[in-house]
Amino acid sequence: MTVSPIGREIDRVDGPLKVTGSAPYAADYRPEGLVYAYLVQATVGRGTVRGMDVSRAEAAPGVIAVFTPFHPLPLKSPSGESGENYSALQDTAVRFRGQIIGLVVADTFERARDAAALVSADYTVTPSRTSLADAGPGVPQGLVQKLAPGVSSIDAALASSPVTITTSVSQHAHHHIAMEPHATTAVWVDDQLTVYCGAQSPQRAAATIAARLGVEPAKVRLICRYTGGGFGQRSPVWNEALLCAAAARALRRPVKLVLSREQVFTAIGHRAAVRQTIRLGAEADGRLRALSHDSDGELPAAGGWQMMPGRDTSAVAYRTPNIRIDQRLVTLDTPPTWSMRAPAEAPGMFALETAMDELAVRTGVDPVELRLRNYATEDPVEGHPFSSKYLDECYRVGAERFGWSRRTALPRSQTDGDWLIGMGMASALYPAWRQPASARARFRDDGRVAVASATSDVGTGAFTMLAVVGADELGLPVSSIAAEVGDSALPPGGVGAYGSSVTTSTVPAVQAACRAAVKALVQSAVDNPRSPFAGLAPATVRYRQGRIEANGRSVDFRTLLRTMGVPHVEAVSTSAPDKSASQYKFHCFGAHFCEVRVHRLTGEPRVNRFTSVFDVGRVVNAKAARGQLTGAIIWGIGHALLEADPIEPDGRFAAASMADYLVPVHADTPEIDVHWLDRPDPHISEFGARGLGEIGLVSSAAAIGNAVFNATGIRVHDLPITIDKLL
Amino acid sequence: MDFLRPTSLADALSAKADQPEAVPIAGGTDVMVELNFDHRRPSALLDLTRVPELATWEPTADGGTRLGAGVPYTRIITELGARLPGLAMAARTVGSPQIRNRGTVGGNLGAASPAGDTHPVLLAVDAAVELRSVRGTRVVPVREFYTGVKRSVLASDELITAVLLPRAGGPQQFSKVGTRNAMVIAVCSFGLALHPGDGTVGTGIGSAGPTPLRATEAEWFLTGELADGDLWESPKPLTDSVRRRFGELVAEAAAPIDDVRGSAAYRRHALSVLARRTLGWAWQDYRTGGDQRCA
Ligand SMILES: Cc1cc2nc3c(=O)[nH]c(=O)nc-3n(C[C@H](O)[C@H](O)[C@H](O)COP(=O)(O)OP(=O)(O)OC[C@H]3O[C@@H](n4cnc5c(N)ncnc54)[C@H](O)[C@@H]3O)c2cc1C
Repeated sequence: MTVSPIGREIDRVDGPLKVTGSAPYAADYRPEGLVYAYLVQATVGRGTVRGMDVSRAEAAPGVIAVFTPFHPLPLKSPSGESGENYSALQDTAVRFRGQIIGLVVADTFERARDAAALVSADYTVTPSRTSLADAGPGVPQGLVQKLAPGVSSIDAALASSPVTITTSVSQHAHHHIAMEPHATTAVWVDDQLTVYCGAQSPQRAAATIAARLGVEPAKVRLICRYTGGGFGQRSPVWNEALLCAAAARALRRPVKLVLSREQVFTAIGHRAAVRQTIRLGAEADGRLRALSHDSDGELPAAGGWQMMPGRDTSAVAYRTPNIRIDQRLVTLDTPPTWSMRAPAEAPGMFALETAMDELAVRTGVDPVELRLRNYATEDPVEGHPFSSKYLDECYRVGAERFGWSRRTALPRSQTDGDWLIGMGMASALYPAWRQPASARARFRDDGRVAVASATSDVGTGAFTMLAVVGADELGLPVSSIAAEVGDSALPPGGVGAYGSSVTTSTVPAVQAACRAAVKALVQSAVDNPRSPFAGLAPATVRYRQGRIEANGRSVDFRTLLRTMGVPHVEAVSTSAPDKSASQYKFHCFGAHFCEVRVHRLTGEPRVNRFTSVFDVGRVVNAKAARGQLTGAIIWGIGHALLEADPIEPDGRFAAASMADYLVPVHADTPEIDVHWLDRPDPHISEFGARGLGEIGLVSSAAAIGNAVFNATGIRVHDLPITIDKLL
Repeated sequence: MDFLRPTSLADALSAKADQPEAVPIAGGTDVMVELNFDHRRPSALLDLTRVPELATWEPTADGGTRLGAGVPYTRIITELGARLPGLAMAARTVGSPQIRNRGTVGGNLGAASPAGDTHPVLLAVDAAVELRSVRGTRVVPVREFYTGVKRSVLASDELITAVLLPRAGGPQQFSKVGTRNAMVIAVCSFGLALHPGDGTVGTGIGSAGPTPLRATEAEWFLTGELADGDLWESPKPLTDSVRRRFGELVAEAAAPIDDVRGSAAYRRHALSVLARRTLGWAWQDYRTGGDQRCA
């Protein structure tokens, strides 16, 4: 009897390959005849390229070609695909500092890089718009508003509330900093293109590349078997990858383009800078009467992702009769923006949960109790019930594990030598999203079952998820499943690795494919004349743990396939949400508790410990789940204390390298106690998984900010919370 | 670009004399960053990692230490914690284990960044830098070594061969404020050495001026206070007013600027805190003869 692997601590199946360096990433492919490209980027913030001198670059050793707006590579304009709103090198406009204005191709990487530095450009410069504060208020993007009967406006609701809180917060641009810098290897064989390039959705990326190159979708295959992090940054296709494929076509040879770490900061989108104001109106006991959430988000002229931080946060989190969400976008001449892990929810919930903490302080209600008093059992705007919500249990279990009862509400009341100690909490939520998905299960005559879906494993554990679910469904050991992802040539219908939706969507598809493959195996066992089961009625034949059994005979599928002379039997299945799902609001929930210390004299803030409890439905792999949740909480430490890339008036990022853009290091990361409730969601799927890649980041920064306030009595509204703000 | 790989000091010095524009590379933790960012394109690199004379340390006749310019931080931490307590403390705060395996004091001096972590300690203990060329050897007190932002008295044909550190006759301390706990350029840093032998104290300030700085007034003040109260002989706890004044004088000696890591005002404030803190620790150690404490 095999024990089900579901929910257990399973090592990642791709782990040995990765730690031995034998998992090929996009830059590891070395096709015959390969040449190397390097980007030239604009050095002014906005304007026009008047002319470029490429003569020195063209004369440099090993140089094969230099492409510029004056000698472009043909690319179609984007039409509705996500990402930037222009194609590189098709015009002389400079939309932001760091825009690609040239591509140098040479016989080695070093020579391409060297020659790229020899290209010079003349510009006509126009002043850049770079400041959210100066350029705002932005253009409204659709208001969400619900007012109680008889209430004329949110302002009226706020004005009549016994207690009101107004909190404005801001944060600069954030960068994803995926471990693998962006890289593309493009290979044409006749009119067929294979692109090796990290992608969160291999099939969508392949379709985009085909459209922009003007070729049939079937002519492009994208392979991203191993991808060193996505976080949103690899959901669109950026100009660099398109140029690489176009250069390979023009030069009739394979081209590789690897970005330097610094180039990734500008050539690839970042999380938009955003300013938000929350206004809360409440009764004296903390019960909310009104919630208003205004935001101004950066929207680059070059296009990008729209920062809308209120909709999935303040419109969902708490029960309140009056809500107004006003999200605006401000056009700036900054590098493109893109969604970044908990893209809107992390900033949005930082704002809301900071304001809730201020309300707790003002009303004297304990922060956990305040949230329970405002507990929502249905979507406060649309009225749909939550499919499954045990946030109250998260609060209770989290408070217990953390020792919340030891907190004193009065700031500066706990010390340890020269360190002020503070505790804070915040609640988290993130939408759960199930998309239609397809998967293939294939019994092979080598005794393994290949389970495939055209999604991507961006380091999250998707390979292992397929293996675990396949093993569970088929009654086989995890090692008997060969998981495949990261290839656009897999059956259509793989979901993209975004929105924490891969597990939620793909598990039901894998289950369906496995069931269908078993059926197909039984069918071929009764149909195939060489089979020992030939001629039996399918209903009398059963599959059990890798064996086909009937009439007292039992044969394992490997032997059966070999006996029949059939190399494999497979099935592809698609699985989509039930129609009844539209009656529910699907969300994941969580509660963060954290303790910080702040040095009384130097203001250094440090996180001492963290406890987080989540309600995320059923968990497939405890080890991968803990990794995702813990990693996201560490991102929260960065969000609260370290990460910021301010943009200078000339359009230059002030911290566009890893020396200046600070992320938490090991020494900044305390023990993180992550726990989840085992509460399968009965409405999202039969399996009940809701997805957990992002929720850990939501509100973890707010918990830290609230703890810093508890330690110091100082409320920092402009992130990150740095030393000089705490004196 | 030429890559010169001498295997003896004599060869290294003659290579540097022949090609003064050759850039020495020891651990490479500063040089490689500059090359990668195309901040410089030297015509030649002079690799010092095969020069055995630079990779050793030895005691000197007067009880001090002659530390080869190429000894990496990791070895300073593991081998010299007791002989060079202040320098070892500073070495522990440099970068990450990988950087400490490669980076050297010679490189820290060669780069002469005001933020380099070893400078405050070298100033506080009154170390000297041994410079050699085919013309000969000179020994420059570290207090005269730095001449400007990332500039020093090092001549184009010279190499830094060693750092000469006097015997640690009393407690030494180093403390640094950073924006995170590791892999961080100091917002400001401070080194302190007590010299009971001659009744003086030494200081060094990092990341708060165009060069690493000494807080001379603070040194005089404290030297005087310790002498007047006969505190070296009968060490009583220092009064708050002495510690506070010492901190103020250290802050006054700094010449900080505002930058992304911190404001000038913050740096002055934090330096006064670091000065008081390190003095408290060092004096406590002196009074109790106890172990050196970690910054
Ligand atoms: C990720 C990272 C983190 C870092 N963190 C810190 C930190 O926390 N604190 C800190 O102080 N520094 C830090 N640094 C900077 C660097 O590690 C130190 O300055 C280190 O001491 C340099 O030593 P090196 O041997 O690597 O020098 P190299 O890079 O080899 O050389 C540095 C300079 O000194 C010259 N030079 C080297 N040896 C000699 C010699 N014998 N004679 C003459 N000139 C010489 C070189 O030509 C060059 O100009 C960090 C660097 C990195 C990349």
